[in-house]
Amino acid sequence: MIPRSADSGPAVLAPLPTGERPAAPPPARPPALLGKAFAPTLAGARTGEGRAFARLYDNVAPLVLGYLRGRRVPDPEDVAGDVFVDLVRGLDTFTGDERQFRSWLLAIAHRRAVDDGRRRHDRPAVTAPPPAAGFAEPAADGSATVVLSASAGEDRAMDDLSVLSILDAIDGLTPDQCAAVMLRVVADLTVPEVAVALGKPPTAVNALLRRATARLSRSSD
Amino acid sequence: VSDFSIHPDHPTGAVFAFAADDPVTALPVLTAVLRGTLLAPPDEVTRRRHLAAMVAAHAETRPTALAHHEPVRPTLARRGRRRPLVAAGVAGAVLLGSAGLAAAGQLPAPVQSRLAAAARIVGLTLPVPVPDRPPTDPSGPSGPAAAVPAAPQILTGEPVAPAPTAPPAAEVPIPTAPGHDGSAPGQSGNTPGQSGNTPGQSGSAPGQSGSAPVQSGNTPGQSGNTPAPSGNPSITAPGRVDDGPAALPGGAIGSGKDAASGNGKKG
Repeated sequence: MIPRSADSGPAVLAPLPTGERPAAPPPARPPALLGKAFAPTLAGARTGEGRAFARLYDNVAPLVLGYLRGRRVPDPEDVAGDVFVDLVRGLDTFTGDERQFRSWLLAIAHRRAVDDGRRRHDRPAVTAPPPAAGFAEPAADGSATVVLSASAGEDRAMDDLSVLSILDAIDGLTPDQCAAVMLRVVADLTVPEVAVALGKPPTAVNALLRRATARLSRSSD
Repeated sequence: VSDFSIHPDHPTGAVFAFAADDPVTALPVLTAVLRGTLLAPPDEVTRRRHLAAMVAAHAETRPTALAHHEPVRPTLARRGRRRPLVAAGVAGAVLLGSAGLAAAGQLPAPVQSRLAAAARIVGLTLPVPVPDRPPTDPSGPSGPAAAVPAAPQILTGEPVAPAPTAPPAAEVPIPTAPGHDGSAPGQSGNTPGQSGNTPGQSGSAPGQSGSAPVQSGNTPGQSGNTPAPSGNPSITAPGRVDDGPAALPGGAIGSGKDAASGNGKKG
């Protein structure tokens, strides 16, 4: 489910560039690393400090939600809640630096996404809404229909179409390729970190990324 | 070098990935669109819900953090640890009580005798119950020996030899220590309850006075005369002496000659 804000209408649209459209939009970066503040924040979270929880959550929640949205999880917020509960339960067992912490957290998110997909395997297919391109309008039969924002202008409609085309291209990937691309592109993990998160050897991750890139390139042509 | 990136963190030392195979470098538009659309932070409601779940999970996995705020209640584990202590206490109390009763000789006779035998093995001396005495004969011995109650016999290391001859009952001193007067207590030389004769026998069989009872020489109910047969009782008139066959009026019994001569036409 796409998060809605109270004052921005029915859907939250990503701040895509408008007006003069560059050839390539300025790259959005994932949340910056906490750096030196990571260790005390992690120590505070281990002792149950609310501020440490909030700081850690604000730093990594966009990554988790972005990965789950990219994996087309029907209810990414709920699954993300389970991911953060697992994070708290496993804090004592984690050892490593901040980048390893992100890789470990996204590994939890990956397993949760896989579990959610298995749980919904035999259920009627629910069309996941494209992230930030509209909002899901629940139908009577439980399915969801993507409704594009009616207030968007022509440029926004063009951006929506580009997003939809990209998401259609993502849908053409295999689940492993999609997961590797999302971890590499959205979460900005390195290949070894993606390998750790997916539980695969780095060479296999390289192969997945190579095939996914070739397939996406053909789709964009 | 710009065609591939090096990942020195990999255990093998380096992982080479050509830039053409990396979607971040090969597909900048896709990267920007995906990052711009997918990395939206959660709304405030979702954020608060997730943080509350994290705090609850932390409190659930580490309950000792709140232990000092809550009164300590005995758990099942603590109760389980107390059970052996309670059982041991009860067993000890029962054992001490039984030992006290056994030392005082107040246990039932079979139990007391068994405990005394068992204690004798380990060198302890416990009183042994004396079997119940038979009922005292009223004509039996009287005196101090009869008044002295049966004292329990103390088992010692040496068996107590029975006294060959018991002193006279009147001379039996009151024992200073029960059972240590050299004679078996309560014995006066005679079998208790016997006065020399078999009780209840006076030389003759009980209930016999030398003659057969209730016999007077005659058969009961017989007066010596055999009851006369009544012949035909149906024709015997009551109140009449049955002298013989009755002459029916106008009848002829016997010879008709006698009847004609006796009751005939005489008048």
